[in-house]
Amino acid sequence: MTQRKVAIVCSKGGLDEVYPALILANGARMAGIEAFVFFTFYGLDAITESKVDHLHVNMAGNPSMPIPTVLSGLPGMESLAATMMKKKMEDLDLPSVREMLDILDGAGAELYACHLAMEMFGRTKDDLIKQCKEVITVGDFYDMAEGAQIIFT
Amino acid sequence: MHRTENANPTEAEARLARLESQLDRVLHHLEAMEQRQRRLDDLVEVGIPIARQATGVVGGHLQALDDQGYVSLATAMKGGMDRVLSSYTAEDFELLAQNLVGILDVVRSLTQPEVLAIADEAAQAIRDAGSAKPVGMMAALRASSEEDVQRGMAVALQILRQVGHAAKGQRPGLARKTRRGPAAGMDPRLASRLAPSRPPAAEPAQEASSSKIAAVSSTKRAAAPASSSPAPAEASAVEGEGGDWSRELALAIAAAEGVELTPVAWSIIDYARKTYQESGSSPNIRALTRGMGIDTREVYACFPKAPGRTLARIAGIPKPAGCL
Repeated sequence: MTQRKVAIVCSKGGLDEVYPALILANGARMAGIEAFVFFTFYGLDAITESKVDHLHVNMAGNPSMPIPTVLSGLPGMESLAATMMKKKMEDLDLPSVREMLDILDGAGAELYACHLAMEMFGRTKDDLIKQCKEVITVGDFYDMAEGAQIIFT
Repeated sequence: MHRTENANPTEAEARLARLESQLDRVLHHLEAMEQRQRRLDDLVEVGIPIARQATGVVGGHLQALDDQGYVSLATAMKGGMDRVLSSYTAEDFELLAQNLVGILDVVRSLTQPEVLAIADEAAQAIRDAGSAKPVGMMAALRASSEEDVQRGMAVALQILRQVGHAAKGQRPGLARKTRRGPAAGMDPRLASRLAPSRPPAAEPAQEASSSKIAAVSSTKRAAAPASSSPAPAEASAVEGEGGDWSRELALAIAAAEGVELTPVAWSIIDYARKTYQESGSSPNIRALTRGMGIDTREVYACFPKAPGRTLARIAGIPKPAGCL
Protein backbone atom coordinates (compact mmCIF):
# COMPACT_ATOMS: atom_id res chain seq x y z
CA MET A 1 0.00 0.00 0.00
CA THR A 2 1.40 3.39 -0.94
CA GLN A 3 1.84 6.00 1.79
CA ARG A 4 -1.22 8.27 1.96
CA LYS A 5 -0.57 11.99 2.06
CA VAL A 6 -2.68 15.13 2.46
CA ALA A 7 -1.87 18.75 1.63
CA ILE A 8 -4.09 21.16 3.51
CA VAL A 9 -4.45 24.79 2.43
CA CYS A 10 -5.50 27.14 5.21
CA SER A 11 -6.57 30.37 3.52
CA LYS A 12 -8.72 32.05 6.14
CA GLY A 13 -7.83 33.38 9.54
CA GLY A 14 -11.07 33.01 11.53
CA LEU A 15 -10.94 30.84 14.60
CA ASP A 16 -13.68 28.70 13.07
CA GLU A 17 -11.71 28.47 9.85
CA VAL A 18 -8.29 27.67 11.25
CA TYR A 19 -9.35 24.86 13.61
CA PRO A 20 -10.76 22.56 10.92
CA ALA A 21 -7.50 22.76 8.98
CA LEU A 22 -5.43 21.99 12.06
CA ILE A 23 -7.71 19.19 13.29
CA LEU A 24 -7.74 17.61 9.83
CA ALA A 25 -3.96 17.72 9.70
CA ASN A 26 -3.59 16.27 13.18
CA GLY A 27 -6.19 13.61 12.44
CA ALA A 28 -4.22 12.62 9.36
CA ARG A 29 -1.05 12.21 11.40
CA MET A 30 -2.88 10.17 14.03
CA ALA A 31 -4.12 7.90 11.26
CA GLY A 32 -0.62 7.46 9.93
CA ILE A 33 -1.16 9.75 6.96
CA GLU A 34 1.57 12.21 5.97
CA ALA A 35 0.32 15.79 6.26
CA PHE A 36 1.47 19.33 5.64
CA VAL A 37 -0.39 22.62 5.95
CA PHE A 38 0.07 25.60 3.65
CA PHE A 39 -0.97 28.88 5.30
CA THR A 40 -1.91 31.60 2.82
CA PHE A 41 -3.71 34.96 2.82
CA TYR A 42 -5.47 35.52 6.16
CA GLY A 43 -4.71 31.95 7.11
CA LEU A 44 -1.22 33.28 7.65
CA ASP A 45 -2.46 34.90 10.86
CA ALA A 46 -2.66 31.43 12.40
CA ILE A 47 1.12 31.06 12.26
CA THR A 48 1.96 34.73 12.88
CA GLU A 49 3.40 35.09 16.37
CA SER A 50 1.51 38.31 17.19
CA LYS A 51 -1.82 37.08 15.82
CA VAL A 52 -2.09 33.42 16.74
CA ASP A 53 -3.53 34.01 20.18
CA HIS A 54 -6.03 36.61 18.98
CA LEU A 55 -7.95 34.93 16.17
CA HIS A 56 -11.59 35.92 15.91
CA VAL A 57 -14.73 34.21 14.78
CA ASN A 58 -15.96 35.44 11.43
CA MET A 59 -19.49 36.69 12.05
CA ALA A 60 -20.57 38.89 9.15
CA GLY A 61 -22.06 36.86 6.33
CA ASN A 62 -22.01 33.71 8.42
CA PRO A 63 -25.54 32.28 8.19
CA SER A 64 -24.83 29.83 11.01
CA MET A 65 -24.39 32.63 13.53
CA PRO A 66 -27.29 32.80 15.95
CA ILE A 67 -27.62 36.59 15.63
CA PRO A 68 -28.75 38.67 12.63
CA THR A 69 -26.00 39.82 10.27
CA VAL A 70 -26.80 43.53 10.92
CA LEU A 71 -25.84 43.07 14.56
CA SER A 72 -22.60 41.27 13.76
CA GLY A 73 -21.06 44.54 12.58
CA LEU A 74 -21.40 46.17 15.98
CA PRO A 75 -18.17 46.90 17.83
CA GLY A 76 -16.93 44.10 20.04
CA MET A 77 -19.22 41.48 18.55
CA GLU A 78 -16.44 39.46 16.95
CA SER A 79 -14.29 39.38 20.02
CA LEU A 80 -17.36 38.46 22.05
CA ALA A 81 -18.08 35.55 19.73
CA ALA A 82 -14.41 34.54 19.80
CA THR A 83 -14.41 34.65 23.59
CA MET A 84 -17.52 32.51 23.73
CA MET A 85 -16.06 29.98 21.30
CA LYS A 86 -12.77 29.87 23.20
CA LYS A 87 -14.67 29.35 26.44
CA LYS A 88 -16.59 26.47 24.88
CA MET A 89 -13.35 24.95 23.61
CA GLU A 90 -11.79 25.30 27.02
CA ASP A 91 -14.77 23.47 28.53
CA LEU A 92 -14.26 20.69 26.02
CA ASP A 93 -10.54 20.71 26.86
CA LEU A 94 -9.65 21.48 23.25
CA PRO A 95 -6.12 22.76 22.79
CA SER A 96 -5.61 26.40 21.79
CA VAL A 97 -4.50 27.20 18.24
CA ARG A 98 -0.96 27.70 19.49
CA GLU A 99 -0.96 24.34 21.25
CA MET A 100 -2.55 22.65 18.24
CA LEU A 101 0.29 23.98 16.07
CA ASP A 102 2.82 22.61 18.54
CA ILE A 103 1.06 19.24 18.58
CA LEU A 104 1.07 19.20 14.78
CA ASP A 105 4.77 19.96 14.74
CA GLY A 106 5.41 17.19 17.24
CA ALA A 107 3.26 14.82 15.24
CA GLY A 108 5.40 15.43 12.20
CA ALA A 109 3.01 17.56 10.19
CA GLU A 110 4.92 20.30 8.37
CA LEU A 111 3.73 23.90 8.40
CA TYR A 112 4.50 26.25 5.51
CA ALA A 113 3.82 29.94 4.89
CA CYS A 114 2.81 31.35 1.53
CA HIS A 115 5.48 33.54 -0.04
CA LEU A 116 3.03 35.87 -1.80
CA ALA A 117 0.91 36.39 1.30
CA MET A 118 4.02 37.16 3.34
CA GLU A 119 4.91 39.90 0.86
CA MET A 120 1.37 41.23 0.82
CA PHE A 121 1.19 41.57 4.58
CA GLY A 122 4.78 42.72 4.87
CA ARG A 123 5.82 39.89 7.18
CA THR A 124 9.15 38.14 7.48
CA LYS A 125 10.00 34.64 8.68
CA ASP A 126 10.82 36.19 12.07
CA ASP A 127 7.19 37.25 12.46
CA LEU A 128 6.09 33.63 12.26
CA ILE A 129 5.94 31.00 15.00
CA LYS A 130 8.97 28.79 15.27
CA GLN A 131 7.12 25.67 14.13
CA CYS A 132 6.71 27.13 10.62
CA LYS A 133 9.28 25.24 8.59
CA GLU A 134 9.65 27.42 5.54
CA VAL A 135 8.17 30.15 3.34
CA ILE A 136 7.30 28.58 0.00
CA THR A 137 5.76 29.58 -3.32
CA VAL A 138 2.73 28.03 -4.90
CA GLY A 139 5.04 26.10 -7.24
CA ASP A 140 6.85 24.60 -4.25
CA PHE A 141 3.50 23.72 -2.78
CA TYR A 142 2.52 21.70 -5.84
CA ASP A 143 5.89 19.96 -5.89
CA MET A 144 5.43 18.92 -2.29
CA ALA A 145 1.82 17.96 -2.80
CA GLU A 146 2.65 15.47 -5.50
CA GLY A 147 0.66 12.31 -4.87
CA ALA A 148 -1.22 14.00 -2.01
CA GLN A 149 -4.89 14.73 -1.63
CA ILE A 150 -5.34 18.50 -1.43
CA ILE A 151 -7.82 19.94 1.06
CA PHE A 152 -8.70 23.62 0.82
CA THR A 153 -10.19 25.31 3.86
CA MET B 1 -126.42 -41.04 93.97
CA HIS B 2 -127.06 -37.86 95.81
CA ARG B 3 -123.57 -38.04 97.00
CA THR B 4 -122.42 -38.14 93.54
CA GLU B 5 -124.77 -35.25 92.74
CA ASN B 6 -123.28 -33.51 95.73
CA ALA B 7 -119.88 -34.40 94.67
CA ASN B 8 -120.55 -33.18 91.11
CA PRO B 9 -121.36 -29.57 91.98
CA THR B 10 -118.05 -29.38 93.81
CA GLU B 11 -116.27 -30.67 90.71
CA ALA B 12 -118.18 -28.18 88.57
CA GLU B 13 -117.20 -25.40 90.88
CA ALA B 14 -113.60 -26.38 90.65
CA ARG B 15 -113.87 -26.40 86.88
CA LEU B 16 -115.55 -23.04 86.91
CA ALA B 17 -112.80 -21.70 89.09
CA ARG B 18 -110.16 -23.03 86.56
CA LEU B 19 -112.08 -21.52 83.66
CA GLU B 20 -112.30 -18.25 85.46
CA SER B 21 -108.62 -18.10 86.07
CA GLN B 22 -107.99 -19.00 82.37
CA LEU B 23 -110.36 -16.26 81.35
CA ASP B 24 -108.46 -13.88 83.58
CA ARG B 25 -105.21 -14.74 81.77
CA VAL B 26 -106.81 -14.28 78.35
CA LEU B 27 -108.18 -10.94 79.39
CA HIS B 28 -104.79 -9.96 80.65
CA HIS B 29 -103.21 -10.85 77.28
CA LEU B 30 -105.89 -8.96 75.46
CA GLU B 31 -105.20 -5.94 77.56
CA ALA B 32 -101.46 -6.14 76.81
CA MET B 33 -102.18 -6.51 73.10
CA GLU B 34 -104.44 -3.59 73.16
CA GLN B 35 -101.78 -1.54 74.84
CA ARG B 36 -99.20 -2.54 72.19
CA GLN B 37 -101.66 -1.71 69.45
CA ARG B 38 -102.18 1.67 70.99
CA ARG B 39 -98.45 2.30 71.14
CA LEU B 40 -98.04 1.24 67.51
CA ASP B 41 -100.75 3.63 66.53
CA ASP B 42 -98.92 6.38 68.37
CA LEU B 43 -95.69 5.45 66.60
CA VAL B 44 -97.32 5.52 63.21
CA GLU B 45 -98.94 8.77 64.07
CA VAL B 46 -95.61 10.34 65.04
CA GLY B 47 -93.37 8.30 62.66
CA ILE B 48 -94.95 8.98 59.33
CA PRO B 49 -94.28 12.70 59.32
CA ILE B 50 -90.71 12.02 60.48
CA ALA B 51 -90.24 9.42 57.74
CA ARG B 52 -91.61 11.83 55.20
CA GLN B 53 -89.22 14.47 56.41
CA ALA B 54 -86.29 12.01 56.26
CA THR B 55 -87.12 11.00 52.71
CA GLY B 56 -87.26 14.64 51.79
CA VAL B 57 -83.84 15.25 53.34
CA VAL B 58 -82.25 12.26 51.58
CA GLY B 59 -83.81 13.28 48.31
CA GLY B 60 -82.57 16.82 48.86
CA HIS B 61 -79.03 15.60 49.47
CA LEU B 62 -79.08 13.43 46.38
CA GLN B 63 -80.38 16.38 44.40
CA ALA B 64 -77.60 18.54 45.79
CA LEU B 65 -75.01 15.90 44.88
CA ASP B 66 -76.49 15.73 41.41
CA ASP B 67 -76.36 19.50 41.13
CA GLN B 68 -72.70 19.40 42.08
CA GLY B 69 -72.03 16.83 39.37
CA TYR B 70 -71.23 13.92 41.68
CA VAL B 71 -73.81 11.67 40.16
CA SER B 72 -72.76 12.27 36.60
CA LEU B 73 -69.14 11.95 37.77
CA ALA B 74 -69.90 8.58 39.30
CA THR B 75 -71.67 7.51 36.11
CA ALA B 76 -68.76 8.68 34.02
CA MET B 77 -66.31 6.92 36.33
CA LYS B 78 -68.24 3.72 35.98
CA GLY B 79 -68.12 4.14 32.20
CA GLY B 80 -64.39 4.76 32.45
CA MET B 81 -63.87 1.68 34.60
CA ASP B 82 -65.86 -0.38 32.08
CA ARG B 83 -63.61 0.84 29.30
CA VAL B 84 -60.47 0.16 31.38
CA LEU B 85 -61.67 -3.36 32.15
CA SER B 86 -62.49 -4.09 28.53
CA SER B 87 -59.29 -2.69 27.00
CA TYR B 88 -56.73 -3.98 29.54
CA THR B 89 -55.99 -7.62 30.11
CA ALA B 90 -55.14 -9.38 33.34
CA GLU B 91 -51.53 -9.44 32.13
CA ASP B 92 -51.54 -5.67 31.92
CA PHE B 93 -52.83 -5.35 35.46
CA GLU B 94 -50.14 -7.75 36.66
CA LEU B 95 -47.50 -5.60 34.98
CA LEU B 96 -49.10 -2.55 36.49
CA ALA B 97 -48.86 -4.08 39.93
CA GLN B 98 -45.23 -5.01 39.44
CA ASN B 99 -44.33 -1.50 38.32
CA LEU B 100 -46.49 0.13 40.95
CA VAL B 101 -43.58 1.52 42.92
CA GLY B 102 -42.13 3.12 39.81
CA ILE B 103 -45.50 4.54 38.84
CA LEU B 104 -46.01 5.93 42.33
CA ASP B 105 -42.56 7.48 42.18
CA VAL B 106 -43.49 9.20 38.93
CA VAL B 107 -46.82 10.34 40.35
CA ARG B 108 -45.11 11.63 43.47
CA SER B 109 -42.59 13.62 41.45
CA LEU B 110 -45.35 14.96 39.23
CA THR B 111 -47.52 16.04 42.13
CA GLN B 112 -44.90 17.95 44.06
CA PRO B 113 -46.38 21.42 44.75
CA GLU B 114 -43.68 23.21 42.76
CA VAL B 115 -44.17 20.90 39.76
CA LEU B 116 -47.94 21.39 39.93
CA ALA B 117 -47.53 25.15 40.17
CA ILE B 118 -45.40 25.18 37.01
CA ALA B 119 -47.82 22.83 35.23
CA ASP B 120 -50.72 25.09 36.20
CA GLU B 121 -48.95 28.13 34.76
CA ALA B 122 -48.17 26.20 31.57
CA ALA B 123 -51.79 25.05 31.35
CA GLN B 124 -52.89 28.66 31.63
CA ALA B 125 -50.74 29.49 28.61
CA ILE B 126 -52.26 26.59 26.69
CA ARG B 127 -55.79 27.75 27.64
CA ASP B 128 -54.92 31.16 26.24
CA ALA B 129 -53.50 29.59 23.06
CA GLY B 130 -56.48 30.79 21.01
CA SER B 131 -55.60 34.43 21.57
CA ALA B 132 -51.87 34.03 20.79
CA LYS B 133 -50.63 35.90 17.72
CA PRO B 134 -48.28 34.20 15.24
CA VAL B 135 -44.71 35.51 15.61
CA GLY B 136 -41.76 35.66 13.24
CA MET B 137 -38.05 35.07 13.66
CA MET B 138 -37.38 38.57 14.98
CA ALA B 139 -40.06 38.33 17.65
CA ALA B 140 -38.61 34.96 18.69
CA LEU B 141 -35.17 36.56 18.94
CA ARG B 142 -36.52 39.48 20.95
CA ALA B 143 -38.33 37.10 23.24
CA SER B 144 -35.17 35.08 23.72
CA SER B 145 -33.68 38.01 25.60
CA GLU B 146 -36.43 37.88 28.24
CA GLU B 147 -35.25 36.23 31.39
CA ASP B 148 -38.38 34.10 31.77
CA VAL B 149 -38.11 32.82 28.21
CA GLN B 150 -34.45 32.05 28.76
CA ARG B 151 -35.23 30.09 31.90
CA GLY B 152 -38.04 28.29 30.07
CA MET B 153 -35.67 27.38 27.27
CA ALA B 154 -33.19 26.05 29.80
CA VAL B 155 -35.90 23.88 31.35
CA ALA B 156 -37.10 22.68 27.95
CA LEU B 157 -33.56 21.83 26.94
CA GLN B 158 -32.99 19.97 30.18
CA ILE B 159 -36.18 17.99 29.62
CA LEU B 160 -35.09 17.19 26.06
CA ARG B 161 -31.71 16.14 27.38
CA GLN B 162 -33.23 13.80 29.95
CA VAL B 163 -35.69 12.35 27.45
CA GLY B 164 -32.93 11.86 24.93
CA HIS B 165 -30.72 10.27 27.55
CA ALA B 166 -33.47 7.89 28.56
CA ALA B 167 -34.31 7.14 24.92
CA LYS B 168 -30.69 6.32 24.13
CA GLY B 169 -30.90 3.15 26.21
CA GLN B 170 -34.17 2.08 24.59
CA ARG B 171 -34.40 -0.12 21.53
CA PRO B 172 -37.40 -0.39 19.21
CA GLY B 173 -39.60 -3.32 20.22
CA LEU B 174 -38.30 -3.32 23.78
CA ALA B 175 -41.75 -2.67 25.20
CA ARG B 176 -43.09 -5.76 23.50
CA LYS B 177 -40.18 -7.87 24.71
CA THR B 178 -40.71 -6.87 28.31
CA ARG B 179 -44.36 -7.80 28.01
CA ARG B 180 -43.91 -11.15 26.37
CA GLY B 181 -40.48 -12.44 27.32
CA PRO B 182 -39.18 -13.83 30.59
CA ALA B 183 -38.21 -10.28 31.49
CA ALA B 184 -41.89 -9.31 31.78
CA GLY B 185 -42.47 -7.08 34.75
CA MET B 186 -38.85 -6.13 35.02
CA ASP B 187 -38.12 -2.51 35.87
CA PRO B 188 -37.96 -0.76 32.48
CA ARG B 189 -34.75 0.98 33.42
CA LEU B 190 -33.09 -2.35 34.15
CA ALA B 191 -34.60 -3.86 31.02
CA SER B 192 -33.24 -1.06 28.86
CA ARG B 193 -29.84 -1.47 30.42
CA LEU B 194 -29.81 -5.15 29.57
CA ALA B 195 -31.30 -4.67 26.12
CA PRO B 196 -28.25 -3.78 23.94
CA SER B 197 -26.95 -7.05 22.58
CA ARG B 198 -23.40 -7.89 23.49
CA PRO B 199 -21.00 -8.44 20.63
CA PRO B 200 -19.65 -11.96 20.09
CA ALA B 201 -16.93 -12.78 22.60
CA ALA B 202 -13.33 -12.25 21.62
CA GLU B 203 -11.37 -15.17 20.25
CA PRO B 204 -10.53 -17.82 22.84
CA ALA B 205 -7.23 -17.48 24.62
CA GLN B 206 -5.77 -20.82 23.56
CA GLU B 207 -5.84 -19.77 19.91
CA ALA B 208 -3.99 -16.61 20.79
CA SER B 209 -1.26 -18.50 22.61
CA SER B 210 -0.95 -21.29 20.04
CA SER B 211 1.28 -19.23 17.76
CA LYS B 212 2.46 -15.67 17.58
CA ILE B 213 0.93 -15.10 14.17
CA ALA B 214 -2.42 -16.43 15.35
CA ALA B 215 -2.18 -14.21 18.39
CA VAL B 216 -1.69 -11.14 16.27
CA SER B 217 -4.41 -12.01 13.78
CA SER B 218 -6.92 -12.84 16.49
CA THR B 219 -6.27 -9.53 18.17
CA LYS B 220 -6.82 -7.78 14.87
CA ARG B 221 -10.07 -9.62 14.33
CA ALA B 222 -11.27 -8.73 17.79
CA ALA B 223 -10.22 -5.13 17.40
CA ALA B 224 -11.97 -4.63 14.07
CA PRO B 225 -15.61 -4.94 15.20
CA ALA B 226 -14.80 -3.22 18.47
CA SER B 227 -13.55 -0.10 16.75
CA SER B 228 -16.72 0.30 14.69
CA SER B 229 -19.24 -0.26 17.49
CA PRO B 230 -20.28 2.22 20.19
CA ALA B 231 -18.44 2.65 23.46
CA PRO B 232 -20.15 0.27 25.95
CA ALA B 233 -20.07 -2.72 23.63
CA GLU B 234 -16.54 -1.86 22.67
CA ALA B 235 -15.44 -1.76 26.28
CA SER B 236 -16.86 -5.16 27.07
CA ALA B 237 -15.43 -6.73 23.94
CA VAL B 238 -11.94 -5.50 24.55
CA GLU B 239 -11.96 -5.96 28.29
CA GLY B 240 -12.03 -9.71 27.70
CA GLU B 241 -9.13 -9.28 25.33
CA GLY B 242 -7.39 -7.11 27.94
CA GLY B 243 -7.69 -9.94 30.44
CA ASP B 244 -5.60 -12.13 28.15
CA TRP B 245 -3.02 -9.39 27.64
CA SER B 246 0.55 -10.18 28.44
CA ARG B 247 3.90 -8.57 27.69
CA GLU B 248 4.71 -11.46 25.37
CA LEU B 249 1.52 -10.87 23.42
CA ALA B 250 2.31 -7.14 23.27
CA LEU B 251 5.77 -7.95 21.93
CA ALA B 252 4.29 -10.26 19.29
CA ILE B 253 1.78 -7.65 18.14
CA ALA B 254 4.47 -4.93 18.14
CA ALA B 255 6.71 -7.15 16.02
CA ALA B 256 3.88 -7.73 13.55
CA GLU B 257 3.31 -3.95 13.41
CA GLY B 258 7.01 -3.34 12.88
CA VAL B 259 7.34 -1.45 16.15
CA GLU B 260 10.28 -1.83 18.48
CA LEU B 261 9.28 -1.50 22.12
CA THR B 262 11.76 0.82 23.85
CA PRO B 263 11.57 1.54 27.60
CA VAL B 264 9.68 4.76 26.80
CA ALA B 265 7.26 2.75 24.65
CA TRP B 266 6.70 0.34 27.54
CA SER B 267 6.04 3.22 29.94
CA ILE B 268 3.51 4.62 27.47
CA ILE B 269 1.83 1.20 27.15
CA ASP B 270 1.64 0.83 30.92
CA TYR B 271 0.25 4.34 31.32
CA ALA B 272 -2.36 3.77 28.60
CA ARG B 273 -3.47 0.46 30.14
CA LYS B 274 -3.66 2.01 33.58
CA THR B 275 -5.71 4.95 32.27
CA TYR B 276 -8.05 2.58 30.46
CA GLN B 277 -8.53 0.39 33.52
CA GLU B 278 -9.18 3.39 35.75
CA SER B 279 -11.37 5.52 33.47
CA GLY B 280 -12.83 2.98 31.06
CA SER B 281 -11.63 4.94 28.03
CA SER B 282 -8.37 4.85 26.15
CA PRO B 283 -6.21 7.99 26.37
CA ASN B 284 -5.64 9.98 23.18
CA ILE B 285 -2.21 11.29 22.30
CA ARG B 286 -2.76 14.62 24.05
CA ALA B 287 -3.87 12.84 27.21
CA LEU B 288 -0.67 10.77 27.07
CA THR B 289 1.61 13.74 26.56
CA ARG B 290 -0.07 15.80 29.26
CA GLY B 291 -0.53 12.95 31.71
CA MET B 292 3.01 11.63 31.37
CA GLY B 293 4.70 14.99 30.82
CA ILE B 294 6.30 13.86 27.56
CA ASP B 295 6.45 15.48 24.14
CA THR B 296 4.22 14.58 21.18
CA ARG B 297 7.45 13.77 19.33
CA GLU B 298 8.31 10.99 21.78
CA VAL B 299 4.95 9.32 21.26
CA TYR B 300 5.39 9.46 17.50
CA ALA B 301 8.95 8.24 17.87
CA CYS B 302 7.78 5.15 19.75
CA PHE B 303 4.77 4.46 17.53
CA PRO B 304 5.57 6.21 14.25
CA LYS B 305 2.59 5.13 12.20
CA ALA B 306 -0.88 5.96 13.57
CA PRO B 307 0.34 6.10 17.19
CA GLY B 308 -3.09 6.10 18.86
CA ARG B 309 -4.28 2.98 17.08
CA THR B 310 -0.95 1.14 17.17
CA LEU B 311 -0.56 1.79 20.88
CA ALA B 312 -4.12 0.62 21.54
CA ARG B 313 -3.54 -2.58 19.60
CA ILE B 314 -0.29 -3.36 21.41
CA ALA B 315 -1.71 -2.42 24.83
CA GLY B 316 -4.85 -4.49 24.26
CA ILE B 317 -7.26 -1.56 24.76
CA PRO B 318 -9.84 0.05 22.43
CA LYS B 319 -8.58 2.69 20.05
CA PRO B 320 -9.04 6.18 21.52
CA ALA B 321 -12.25 7.99 20.62
CA GLY B 322 -12.43 11.64 19.55
CA CYS B 323 -10.81 13.87 16.96
CA LEU B 324 -7.64 14.83 18.79
